[in-house]
Amino acid sequence: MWQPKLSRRRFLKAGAITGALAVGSSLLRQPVGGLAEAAGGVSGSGLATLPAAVAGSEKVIPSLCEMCSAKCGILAYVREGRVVKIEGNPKDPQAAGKLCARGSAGMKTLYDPDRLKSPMKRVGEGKFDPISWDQAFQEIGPKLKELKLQYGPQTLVWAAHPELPAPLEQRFMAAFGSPNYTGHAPTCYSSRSVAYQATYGGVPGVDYQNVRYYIAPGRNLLGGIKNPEVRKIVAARKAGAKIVVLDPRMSELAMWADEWLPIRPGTDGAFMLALMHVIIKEKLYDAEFVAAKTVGFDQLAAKVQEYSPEWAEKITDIPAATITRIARELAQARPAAAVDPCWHAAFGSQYYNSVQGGRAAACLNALLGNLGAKGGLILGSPLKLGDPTGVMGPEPPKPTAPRWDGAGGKEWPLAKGLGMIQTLPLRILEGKPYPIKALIVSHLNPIRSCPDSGKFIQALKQLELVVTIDIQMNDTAYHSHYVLPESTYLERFDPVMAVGPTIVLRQPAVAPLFNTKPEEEIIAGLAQAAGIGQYFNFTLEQYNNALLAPFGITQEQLKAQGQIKVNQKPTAPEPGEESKEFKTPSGKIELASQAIASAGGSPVPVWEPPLVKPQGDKLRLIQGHVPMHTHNTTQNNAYLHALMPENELWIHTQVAARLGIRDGDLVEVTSEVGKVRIKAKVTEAIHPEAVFMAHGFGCSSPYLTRTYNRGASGAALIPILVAPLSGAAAQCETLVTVRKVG
Amino acid sequence: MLIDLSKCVGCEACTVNCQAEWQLEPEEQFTKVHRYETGKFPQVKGGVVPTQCFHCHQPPCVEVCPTGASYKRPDGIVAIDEDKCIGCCYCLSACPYGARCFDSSRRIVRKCYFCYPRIEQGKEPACVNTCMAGARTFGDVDDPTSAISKAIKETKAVPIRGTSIFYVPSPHLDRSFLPPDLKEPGFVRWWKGVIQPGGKAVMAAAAGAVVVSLAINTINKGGGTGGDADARK
Repeated sequence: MWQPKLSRRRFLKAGAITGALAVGSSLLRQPVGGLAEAAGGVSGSGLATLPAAVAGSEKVIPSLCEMCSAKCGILAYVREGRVVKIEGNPKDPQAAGKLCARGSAGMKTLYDPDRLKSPMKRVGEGKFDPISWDQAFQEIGPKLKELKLQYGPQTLVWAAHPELPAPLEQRFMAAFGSPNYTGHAPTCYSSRSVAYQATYGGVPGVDYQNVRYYIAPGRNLLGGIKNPEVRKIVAARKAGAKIVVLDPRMSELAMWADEWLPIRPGTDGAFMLALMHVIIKEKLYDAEFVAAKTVGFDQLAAKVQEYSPEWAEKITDIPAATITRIARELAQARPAAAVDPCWHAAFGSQYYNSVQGGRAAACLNALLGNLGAKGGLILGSPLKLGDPTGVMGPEPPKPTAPRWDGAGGKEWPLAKGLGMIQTLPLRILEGKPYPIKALIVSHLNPIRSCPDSGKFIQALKQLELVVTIDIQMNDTAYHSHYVLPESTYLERFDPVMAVGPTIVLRQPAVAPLFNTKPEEEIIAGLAQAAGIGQYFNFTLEQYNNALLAPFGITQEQLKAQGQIKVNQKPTAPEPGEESKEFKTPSGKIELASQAIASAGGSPVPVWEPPLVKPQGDKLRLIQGHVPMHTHNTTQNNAYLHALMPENELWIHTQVAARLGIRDGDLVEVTSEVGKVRIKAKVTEAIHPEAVFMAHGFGCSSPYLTRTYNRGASGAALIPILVAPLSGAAAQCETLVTVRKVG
Repeated sequence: MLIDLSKCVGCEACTVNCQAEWQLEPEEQFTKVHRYETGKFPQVKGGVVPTQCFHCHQPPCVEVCPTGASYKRPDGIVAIDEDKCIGCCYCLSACPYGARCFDSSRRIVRKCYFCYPRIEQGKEPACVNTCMAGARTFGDVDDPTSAISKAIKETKAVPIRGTSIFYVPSPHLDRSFLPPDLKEPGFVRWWKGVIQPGGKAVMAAAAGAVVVSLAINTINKGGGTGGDADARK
């Protein structure tokens, strides 16, 4: 019998045996009434069950997926009031009729028995009572007023993974008078954004469809999956593009790519500097583009003389000859050649040196002259939606207090708009720069997405009011005073959004199953009770209609197709910006950056080693995404849980042998801030200095029964750090030891 | 069906979209994605291979089925009349590709039907429809003008002989990582001849044999990390 050579699904085999045993005891099986019906099937067709998307008497609702943040258009098939199947909307440019595993599993989130079903009030450690919305608002609102009176409005922080209702969350904070709205950027993309903002005045994307030579520094397009990007990069490769992946681990993209370069973690910047060394030395760059569009070339050229491939080989573990070859191949393919700016990855937020590495990549891209070229980088100008202020009522006054984290202030000018959420527990515990007593969390689970879970929990216990808005009792909700259940994406409208030239609408496929509300109603309820109701005297439909007004359509009209392609003329430049091609101080691409220099960094990219150095049994913990889960939000989804119920610790074969660890052993992983237990995956596919753990597991909330305590959370191990210039959390600057415990 | 492993990204959308289409239990998967790695650091290669029912030309599952629930349609699709299935699991063990699964709530065996109700409505199978990579092509291989016939020719796809599945191998993995051609295992004939004519007592014994064979397969699995295709049959 053919057996898979290496499968992660031993549990399925075990399941088959259990199934067969069950058969042994039930050979005289009696017909079991109602089972076909329970499974949604139709009997008597020669097949007991008809598939979901073909059976009759159904509605098909076009809407917008929220199983990740890529915003693919979907078609929800609804039969007898139930969503039975979700497919990609063929008319939607993001989805093109396709959907990933997570999107396909959406109805299992809608019908998850572990969902929040009504507002909950904490009545003891891990204990909650269901309460009415009225009670929730009438208790939370006055408490907010009281805290504002005592400590000032800045005592309230709102932490979010900014989703479509984010502008309404921000309005709530402005109306309350607090500057402390904060996203997840430092745990994701802060350093990348700072690097590209400084160099180009914006963060470009990659023309994946047409790229001919693509380098991914840790970016894992096939792990952190975005449907449109996957479709395009597959098409590009089929058309002959070369895909090169720098990653200490053979990620999904590295496995699929033409070439995987198993780089020493945290040294991607050295690799980029050496590529520039070769490209400048051998005059392989686009001299015309550099002369016309950039400033600081001479400074850059002088600096990268130091960074030869031989120098980089010692740092990166990539042979000098390989570096030279890659530099030549990359330059040969220009301008249809790109180094991915990344999201998370090497230059996103992971290392102390990510800004310098990101700057090196940004400068390298500029040398290739790829900006605006087919197959290069694209600086998009997003569609400008209508102005909703007319329907929203009075404009809130500007908050007067400084932010708690100093982002955008004198010390952290480049972190403006990014924030430093990872420092929140420290500031709460210290009471500095001022007392923070209340926290509202939405679409975010900082206990598992921010560093040092233990510290975060300790800080939450110091607060007088913690409110979490979510669809499930995640770890942070579990430590909150109030949990307010949002309707799932299949049960609610959201603010409309633009994707390229297309406007898309999220709309309900079914009415809310439980006593949940869409977020705009939750925000309005809180505002009313907190004495700032005058800022929320509008409906979401009025708000959406204002956003849609320039295009002559309404929310009601958008419902039928769920999306519409519109035309918009390019907007005139802002006053004072007419002469600037790029939103940088010089108006050019800054190979030598004034913004970085004035924030205290080297104006041209330089090599800075990572903060920590693995030695002996101390290994570097690295982390990343997997294709079947999104962050820490999907692990309780029945289909996705079955695909990947827990994560494993990837550890190199020789390191494992030295530590007496075998594949499948239970190991304890210890860092300076915590320890976790997890199964070991012994593999050749990782750099010996690193161990890898997929992000998103190790749920500590027993309310999520499938995923509770399955696998381990890297957040429990990562110390709170603040990387220079960007304020990023530098999560991969974590050293751990590993020992076998079972 | 043609599965192009130079395109397949291993995202498992096929697995889940199929589950949703057929409203399967989470543990029931008609199509699965296997991952491989081979070589020593830093010279490591890897790849993914999705599998499902191979819709064999002479399906062992149909031959062993005591009730006729497993059958081959005139169009070549191997199907199961779920009303006739008694859940004895002979087929599950007879399948050389491990493609069938036991629905524990309904106590029947189920598997990929190539989504023939969708095909009859002019739609593609769910796995093909959702594949972001465009790695799957479905169609009539007997029609030389069909998209799949052209794709097989263009890509020099490898047929899994005796079945309805073709693969374009991953550039990183050799043929031995693909499922083998269909060769009817000897024990299937033995079963059909010896067990099936017997009564229910014999069937109970056979069910025991299924358990043992599955257990042996599971134990054997640990060693199967390399070698040629024959070694794994």
